Amino acid sequence: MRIKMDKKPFLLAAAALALTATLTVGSAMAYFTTHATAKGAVPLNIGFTETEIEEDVDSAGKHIVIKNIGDYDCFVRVKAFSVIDVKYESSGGWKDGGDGYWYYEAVLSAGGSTEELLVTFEYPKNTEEDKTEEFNIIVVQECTPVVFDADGNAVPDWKNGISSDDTQ
Amino acid sequence: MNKKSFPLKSVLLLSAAALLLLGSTIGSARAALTYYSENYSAQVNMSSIGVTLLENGREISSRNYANNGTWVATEGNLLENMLDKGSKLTPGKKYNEALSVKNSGNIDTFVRVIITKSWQNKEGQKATELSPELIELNLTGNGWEQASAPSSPERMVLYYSNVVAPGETTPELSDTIRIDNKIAQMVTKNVSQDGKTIQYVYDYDGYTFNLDAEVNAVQTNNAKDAIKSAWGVDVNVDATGISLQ
Repeated sequence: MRIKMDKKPFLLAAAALALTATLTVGSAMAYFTTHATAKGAVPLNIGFTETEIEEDVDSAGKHIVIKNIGDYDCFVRVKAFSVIDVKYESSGGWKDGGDGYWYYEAVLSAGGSTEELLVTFEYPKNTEEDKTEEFNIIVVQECTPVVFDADGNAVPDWKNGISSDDTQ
Repeated sequence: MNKKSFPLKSVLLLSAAALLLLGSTIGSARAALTYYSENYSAQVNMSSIGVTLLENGREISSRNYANNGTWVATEGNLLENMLDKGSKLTPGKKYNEALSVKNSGNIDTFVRVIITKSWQNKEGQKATELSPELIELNLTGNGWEQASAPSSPERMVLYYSNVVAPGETTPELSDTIRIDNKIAQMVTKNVSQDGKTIQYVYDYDGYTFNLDAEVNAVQTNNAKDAIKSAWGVDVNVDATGISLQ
């Protein structure tokens, strides 16, 4: 008698093997793993500050003090315009930038004031009339936010300077 | 005759298959018992995996296996101490942000860290107009290898190439974080009506930057398969550790 090969048992065996195979994969996947997460956020509160100029005029000249009345640190510089020659005298902290401006060297922190910068002038000597003539010395002050360069040094950013002038 | 005896064969095969199935189930059930049974824990040092994320040496988040299938997890916040009290984030300034990973379990592990950076606008929505590249987390190398494929400006995946032994802390993967001061140049100019005062307003004032970190740890036994299974990446494993393929 010819033995007939029946497919059924093989199919069953194959199914059984496949089932056992999936079970093996199941337990092999039980590796030891763990994880931990953390989040953090920091708001970027950047803004421009406001500065105020305080000027006292006496016989010596114009005494200039810049006050930072805003919430952010800044750098400041001033320039005086006049029809007559003016000179600057610093009691410390101010430096001639060589570009017409005098720069306050330190960072002016929020709420702080600069040292005094004295702008002196001389009356023209040629005629008596000139003495009685009135003239203006216009002081322009600029402030700019403090930014940090790649090395982490605080530097002014004069491209975004805020200027205001005051005439007396 | 033949036809009648056939069902017996198939029944035999079926029961054999059932037995095999049963056998394999018992097998894995046994494996589970070895890991979690209390009886065993009294006799052998139970394997437990654990990982802790550190920021500037401070433990932030962790997840450690305790026993009986329970985990002890903590989750803290990053960047909490970045700014001194009362001070504001200054664009361009570098702040300390040293991230490292500690093995807080008792088996050797391989670890990786996924860093995600993004911006949020004032309304708390994700700000896609600002590039995550403006958030510069300075990577140190130090044995940390950055995967090129799943990394993007927003998401970085860093693999530590050496085995981290129990109690050991990896070298720091980063040292500082900095917001590019380009952001300080994105301004709108306003001139007062009398023309005497010029003011600028920052376009991105009030935006928030986010830094998320996820640490993954995996066993070192059978590392290649374990890492493929847990992290979905192919790595080369040698005596010193792992390297990305």
